[in-house]
Amino acid sequence: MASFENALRAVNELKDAGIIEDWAVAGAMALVFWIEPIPTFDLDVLVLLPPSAGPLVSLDPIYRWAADRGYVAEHEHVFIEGVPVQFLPSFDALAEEAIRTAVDRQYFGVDLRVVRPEYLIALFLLPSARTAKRRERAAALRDSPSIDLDLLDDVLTRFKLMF
Amino acid sequence: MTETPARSSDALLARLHEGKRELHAVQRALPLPEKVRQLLELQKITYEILRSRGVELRPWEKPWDVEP
Repeated sequence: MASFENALRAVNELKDAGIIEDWAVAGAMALVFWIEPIPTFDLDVLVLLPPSAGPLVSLDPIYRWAADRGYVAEHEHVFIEGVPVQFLPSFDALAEEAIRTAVDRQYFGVDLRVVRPEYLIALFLLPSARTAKRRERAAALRDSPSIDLDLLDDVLTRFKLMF
Repeated sequence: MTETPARSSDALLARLHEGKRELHAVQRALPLPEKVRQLLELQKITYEILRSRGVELRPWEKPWDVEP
Protein backbone atom coordinates (compact mmCIF):
# COMPACT_ATOMS: atom_id res chain seq x y z
CA MET A 1 0.00 0.00 0.00
CA ALA A 2 1.08 3.57 -0.63
CA SER A 3 2.58 5.36 2.32
CA PHE A 4 3.74 8.78 3.37
CA GLU A 5 7.10 7.22 4.08
CA ASN A 6 7.43 5.98 0.50
CA ALA A 7 6.36 9.36 -0.86
CA LEU A 8 9.24 10.99 1.02
CA ARG A 9 11.59 8.27 -0.18
CA ALA A 10 10.53 8.96 -3.77
CA VAL A 11 11.11 12.71 -3.42
CA ASN A 12 14.62 11.93 -2.21
CA GLU A 13 15.23 10.10 -5.48
CA LEU A 14 14.84 13.42 -7.28
CA LYS A 15 17.82 14.77 -5.40
CA ASP A 16 19.85 11.59 -5.83
CA ALA A 17 19.19 11.79 -9.57
CA GLY A 18 20.35 15.41 -9.68
CA ILE A 19 16.97 16.64 -10.92
CA ILE A 20 16.75 18.94 -7.93
CA GLU A 21 19.59 20.35 -5.88
CA ASP A 22 17.80 20.30 -2.57
CA TRP A 23 14.32 20.21 -1.11
CA ALA A 24 12.42 20.85 2.08
CA VAL A 25 8.91 20.24 3.32
CA ALA A 26 6.99 23.51 3.60
CA GLY A 27 3.38 24.63 3.89
CA ALA A 28 0.82 23.17 6.25
CA MET A 29 2.49 19.75 6.27
CA ALA A 30 5.62 21.28 7.78
CA LEU A 31 3.57 22.33 10.79
CA VAL A 32 3.20 18.67 11.70
CA PHE A 33 6.94 18.63 12.38
CA TRP A 34 6.92 21.73 14.59
CA ILE A 35 3.54 21.95 16.28
CA GLU A 36 0.36 19.95 15.81
CA PRO A 37 -1.23 18.39 12.78
CA ILE A 38 -3.71 20.58 10.96
CA PRO A 39 -5.88 19.38 8.11
CA THR A 40 -4.20 19.68 4.74
CA PHE A 41 -4.62 17.70 1.56
CA ASP A 42 -1.25 18.15 -0.06
CA LEU A 43 2.46 18.12 0.58
CA ASP A 44 4.28 21.30 -0.39
CA VAL A 45 7.88 20.69 -1.35
CA LEU A 46 10.13 23.68 -1.86
CA VAL A 47 12.85 22.79 -4.34
CA LEU A 48 16.12 24.29 -5.41
CA LEU A 49 16.58 23.52 -9.06
CA PRO A 50 20.05 23.09 -10.57
CA PRO A 51 21.39 26.17 -12.33
CA SER A 52 20.06 26.36 -15.88
CA ALA A 53 21.32 28.07 -18.99
CA GLY A 54 18.17 30.07 -19.56
CA PRO A 55 16.21 32.39 -17.32
CA LEU A 56 13.04 30.29 -17.43
CA VAL A 57 12.38 27.85 -14.62
CA SER A 58 10.94 24.56 -15.77
CA LEU A 59 9.48 21.71 -13.79
CA ASP A 60 9.56 19.48 -16.85
CA PRO A 61 12.41 17.27 -15.56
CA ILE A 62 10.35 16.58 -12.42
CA TYR A 63 7.28 15.74 -14.45
CA ARG A 64 9.31 13.47 -16.75
CA TRP A 65 10.77 11.69 -13.71
CA ALA A 66 7.23 11.28 -12.32
CA ALA A 67 5.86 9.92 -15.61
CA ASP A 68 8.72 7.42 -15.85
CA ARG A 69 7.65 6.03 -12.48
CA GLY A 70 3.97 6.01 -13.25
CA TYR A 71 3.14 8.92 -10.96
CA VAL A 72 0.24 10.91 -12.31
CA ALA A 73 0.49 14.69 -12.63
CA GLU A 74 -2.85 16.40 -12.26
CA HIS A 75 -3.17 20.16 -12.39
CA GLU A 76 -0.42 21.48 -10.16
CA HIS A 77 0.18 18.24 -8.23
CA VAL A 78 2.05 15.02 -8.78
CA PHE A 79 0.53 12.01 -7.05
CA ILE A 80 3.48 10.23 -5.49
CA GLU A 81 2.71 7.03 -3.59
CA GLY A 82 -0.83 8.30 -2.98
CA VAL A 83 0.25 11.74 -1.78
CA PRO A 84 -0.48 14.83 -3.89
CA VAL A 85 2.82 16.69 -3.94
CA GLN A 86 3.20 20.25 -5.12
CA PHE A 87 6.72 21.15 -6.14
CA LEU A 88 7.43 24.82 -5.61
CA PRO A 89 10.66 25.99 -7.22
CA SER A 90 12.50 28.52 -5.09
CA PHE A 91 11.06 31.86 -6.14
CA ASP A 92 13.15 34.40 -4.24
CA ALA A 93 15.95 34.87 -1.72
CA LEU A 94 13.65 34.03 1.19
CA ALA A 95 12.58 30.70 -0.30
CA GLU A 96 16.19 29.88 -1.15
CA GLU A 97 17.31 30.65 2.39
CA ALA A 98 14.39 28.62 3.76
CA ILE A 99 15.60 25.57 1.86
CA ARG A 100 19.29 26.05 2.66
CA THR A 101 18.61 26.45 6.39
CA ALA A 102 16.04 23.64 6.59
CA VAL A 103 16.48 21.12 9.38
CA ASP A 104 17.36 17.47 8.79
CA ARG A 105 14.82 15.00 10.08
CA GLN A 106 14.07 11.33 9.65
CA TYR A 107 10.76 9.62 9.13
CA PHE A 108 10.89 5.83 9.53
CA GLY A 109 14.53 6.03 8.56
CA VAL A 110 13.92 8.23 5.51
CA ASP A 111 15.96 11.42 5.44
CA LEU A 112 14.07 14.60 4.82
CA ARG A 113 14.43 18.30 5.38
CA VAL A 114 11.86 20.59 6.92
CA VAL A 115 11.72 24.37 6.65
CA ARG A 116 12.48 25.96 10.02
CA PRO A 117 9.45 27.49 11.75
CA GLU A 118 10.90 31.02 11.55
CA TYR A 119 11.07 30.73 7.77
CA LEU A 120 7.67 29.09 7.55
CA ILE A 121 6.23 32.12 9.32
CA ALA A 122 7.97 34.42 6.85
CA LEU A 123 6.68 32.40 3.90
CA PHE A 124 3.13 32.45 5.32
CA LEU A 125 3.36 36.25 5.66
CA LEU A 126 4.51 36.95 2.11
CA PRO A 127 2.06 39.38 0.55
CA SER A 128 1.49 37.01 -2.37
CA ALA A 129 0.60 34.13 -0.02
CA ARG A 130 -1.04 36.02 2.81
CA THR A 131 -4.50 34.71 3.71
CA ALA A 132 -6.35 34.61 7.01
CA LYS A 133 -5.60 30.89 7.24
CA ARG A 134 -1.88 31.39 6.71
CA ARG A 135 -1.72 34.29 9.18
CA GLU A 136 -3.36 31.99 11.71
CA ARG A 137 -0.74 29.30 11.02
CA ALA A 138 2.02 31.87 11.37
CA ALA A 139 0.61 32.95 14.73
CA ALA A 140 0.38 29.35 15.96
CA LEU A 141 4.03 28.81 15.05
CA ARG A 142 5.13 32.07 16.68
CA ASP A 143 3.52 30.97 19.95
CA SER A 144 5.29 27.61 19.95
CA PRO A 145 8.36 27.01 22.11
CA SER A 146 10.37 25.83 19.12
CA ILE A 147 10.64 29.38 17.81
CA ASP A 148 13.91 31.30 17.94
CA LEU A 149 12.49 34.80 18.37
CA ASP A 150 15.78 36.52 17.50
CA LEU A 151 16.01 34.58 14.25
CA LEU A 152 12.35 35.28 13.51
CA ASP A 153 12.90 38.99 14.06
CA ASP A 154 15.97 38.92 11.83
CA VAL A 155 14.19 37.10 9.01
CA LEU A 156 11.09 39.28 9.13
CA THR A 157 13.20 42.46 9.23
CA ARG A 158 15.49 41.46 6.37
CA PHE A 159 12.59 40.42 4.16
CA LYS A 160 10.41 43.34 5.23
CA LEU A 161 7.55 41.23 6.51
CA MET A 162 5.22 41.75 9.43
CA PHE A 163 2.26 40.12 11.13
CA MET B 1 -34.92 44.04 36.36
CA THR B 2 -32.18 42.33 34.41
CA GLU B 3 -30.18 39.54 35.91
CA THR B 4 -26.44 39.46 35.50
CA PRO B 5 -25.41 36.18 33.87
CA ALA B 6 -22.98 34.01 35.81
CA ARG B 7 -19.41 34.65 34.74
CA SER B 8 -16.22 32.65 34.98
CA SER B 9 -13.82 33.78 37.63
CA ASP B 10 -10.29 34.81 36.67
CA ALA B 11 -9.01 31.73 38.48
CA LEU B 12 -11.23 29.41 36.46
CA LEU B 13 -10.21 31.07 33.19
CA ALA B 14 -6.55 30.79 34.13
CA ARG B 15 -7.00 27.08 34.85
CA LEU B 16 -8.77 26.53 31.53
CA HIS B 17 -6.03 28.35 29.63
CA GLU B 18 -3.37 26.37 31.43
CA GLY B 19 -5.18 23.13 30.55
CA LYS B 20 -5.26 24.19 26.92
CA ARG B 21 -1.54 25.00 26.96
CA GLU B 22 -0.83 21.57 28.43
CA LEU B 23 -2.95 19.86 25.78
CA HIS B 24 -1.07 21.66 23.00
CA ALA B 25 2.25 20.73 24.60
CA VAL B 26 1.24 17.06 24.66
CA GLN B 27 0.11 17.24 21.02
CA ARG B 28 3.35 18.91 19.97
CA ALA B 29 5.41 16.22 21.66
CA LEU B 30 3.73 13.28 19.94
CA PRO B 31 5.93 11.07 17.76
CA LEU B 32 5.86 12.04 14.10
CA PRO B 33 4.11 8.86 12.87
CA GLU B 34 1.32 9.49 15.37
CA LYS B 35 0.97 13.07 14.16
CA VAL B 36 0.76 11.85 10.56
CA ARG B 37 -1.85 9.28 11.62
CA GLN B 38 -3.84 12.12 13.20
CA LEU B 39 -3.44 14.18 10.06
CA LEU B 40 -4.93 11.34 7.99
CA GLU B 41 -7.91 11.21 10.37
CA LEU B 42 -8.30 14.99 10.21
CA GLN B 43 -8.38 14.77 6.42
CA LYS B 44 -11.34 12.38 6.56
CA ILE B 45 -13.24 14.57 9.02
CA THR B 46 -12.50 17.79 7.13
CA TYR B 47 -13.40 16.23 3.80
CA GLU B 48 -16.82 15.13 5.07
CA ILE B 49 -17.51 18.55 6.57
CA LEU B 50 -16.53 20.36 3.38
CA ARG B 51 -18.61 17.99 1.24
CA SER B 52 -21.66 18.31 3.47
CA ARG B 53 -21.38 22.09 3.15
CA GLY B 54 -21.34 21.76 -0.61
CA VAL B 55 -17.84 23.21 -0.91
CA GLU B 56 -16.46 22.60 -4.38
CA LEU B 57 -13.28 20.63 -3.86
CA ARG B 58 -10.40 20.34 -6.27
CA PRO B 59 -9.50 16.81 -7.44
CA TRP B 60 -6.58 16.47 -5.03
CA GLU B 61 -8.53 17.72 -2.02
CA LYS B 62 -9.47 14.39 -0.58
CA PRO B 63 -8.16 12.09 2.14
CA TRP B 64 -4.96 10.27 1.25
CA ASP B 65 -5.36 6.53 0.90
CA VAL B 66 -2.00 5.85 2.45
CA GLU B 67 -0.37 4.34 5.51
CA PRO B 68 1.39 6.81 7.79
